[in-house]
Amino acid sequence: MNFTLAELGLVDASPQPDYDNLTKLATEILGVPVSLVSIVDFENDRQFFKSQLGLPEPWATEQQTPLSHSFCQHVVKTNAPLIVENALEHELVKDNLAIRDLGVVSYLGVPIYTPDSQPTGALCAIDGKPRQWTEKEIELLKQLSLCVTDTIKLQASLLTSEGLRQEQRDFTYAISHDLKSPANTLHMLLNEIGFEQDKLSEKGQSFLDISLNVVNRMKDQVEDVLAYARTGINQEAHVKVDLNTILEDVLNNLKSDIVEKNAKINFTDLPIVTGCPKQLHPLFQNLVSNALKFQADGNTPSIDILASSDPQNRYDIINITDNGIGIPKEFHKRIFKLFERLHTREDYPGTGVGLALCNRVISNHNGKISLQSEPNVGTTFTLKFPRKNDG
Amino acid sequence: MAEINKIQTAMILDDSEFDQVLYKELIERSGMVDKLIQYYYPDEALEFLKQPDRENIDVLFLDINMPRMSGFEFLKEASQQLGSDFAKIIIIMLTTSLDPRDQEKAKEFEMVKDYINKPLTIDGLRHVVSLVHHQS
Repeated sequence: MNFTLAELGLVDASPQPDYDNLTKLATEILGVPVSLVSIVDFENDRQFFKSQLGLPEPWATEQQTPLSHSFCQHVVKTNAPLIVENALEHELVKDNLAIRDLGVVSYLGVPIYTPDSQPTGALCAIDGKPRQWTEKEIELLKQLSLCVTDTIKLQASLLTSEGLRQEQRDFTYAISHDLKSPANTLHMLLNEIGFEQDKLSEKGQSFLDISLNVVNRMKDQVEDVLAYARTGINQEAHVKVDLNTILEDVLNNLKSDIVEKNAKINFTDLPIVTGCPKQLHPLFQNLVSNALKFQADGNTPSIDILASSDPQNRYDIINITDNGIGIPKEFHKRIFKLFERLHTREDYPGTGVGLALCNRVISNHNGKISLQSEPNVGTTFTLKFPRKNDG
Repeated sequence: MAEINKIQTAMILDDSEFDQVLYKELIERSGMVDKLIQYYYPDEALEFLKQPDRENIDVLFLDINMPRMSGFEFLKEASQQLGSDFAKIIIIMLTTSLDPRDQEKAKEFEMVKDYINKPLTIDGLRHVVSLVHHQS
């Protein structure tokens, strides 16, 4: 993808530490008072200083000068270093207004490049007195200019991936909607056929049941995929979240299932963590509903939700333990992948999205999810939330 | 295999019970297959194939996205554990996967003779039957 200088944040943008660190390094290594990352904008007859160290006012604040004051433009025009020992005696720049207004006497500038390898400006070192630049110094500044170019490239990559992520999200929404609406229509049609059920053979009736079942499954699948896509981008602000409230909501949602299975749920007081409630809710909902679901026939679910901390107090830890069918060790990695399932939908219904979503939520919270399990005994999922130092 | 438009034994490995009901329906109606063996879990199918005295299987319809083991993992495991016994079976990938990488991957397995997108139709079945006769 191609980006404009403004999109890359190289013109009309605030200074950034990434670039400022490099101009600082340049002044220290070369022992000069001034260093600039200058972006040459021929169209607008100006050079913009993405970073500047040591410039006099008003230039430092304005962050730009007309090209009448630019040595760096020659670096871009020739796509080569410009080495000036004494500007007053240098043919190319002796009339340049930077000498009078910015106090430039000696100058060393090397090109920096856009991601598509076009010279776009210069990293330069400036002194107010004549100076001989050594081969070594020129080489060092070239090395630093590579870092500047890399920073620009990195910025472009970030923009590209952000764009793709946005596009993918829009696409997921669009396609989910387009899949859901025919599923709804089909559902209504099948219901209509249901009213004519007495005209169907036994086989026909069983096919009708299957059809309804399948179309419901499709709606679940679309909704789960949407939920997964929605948690993909960690853009919502993190706030203090009382996990007791989250768990209360979740248990309330799962109430009918809990009552029907006569499940025993034990829990201790849970901590307050920093996070996104809209994501933490499905995290707990999926783990608790899995604990209820993956049970042997006739077994009464017993689920413990216990909070603790590590010895160094760096994490809030929550263990969710069930007495279910367990997960063989060889599948412990696999279960977190999208659409992975260990059972047919007839044995245990589900879309293969739940744990992938949990994994995403935890990673959005810089935490960890892990499990210990023994087949036919039960499973413990462990969630670790990093504690913030500021409390 | 006297009759040219028939095969003796077909096996289907697919985790969707509903799809399996409909395959059975289609296959019985077609009259082209004498016996149908159905499995829902790849690991269980593998155990079945490992039996030394099991019947001969002419063709295996294989899904890709399945619990515990993908269709490709199943092919690898089966080839490793069963060797030439497994290589004799004609494999037809029968899947909803639209991922072109899956089709490419299927080509890496010599025993995979075709790649059919779901749903299985009577024409698709006819094509597979003639393929089986052509191969043998």
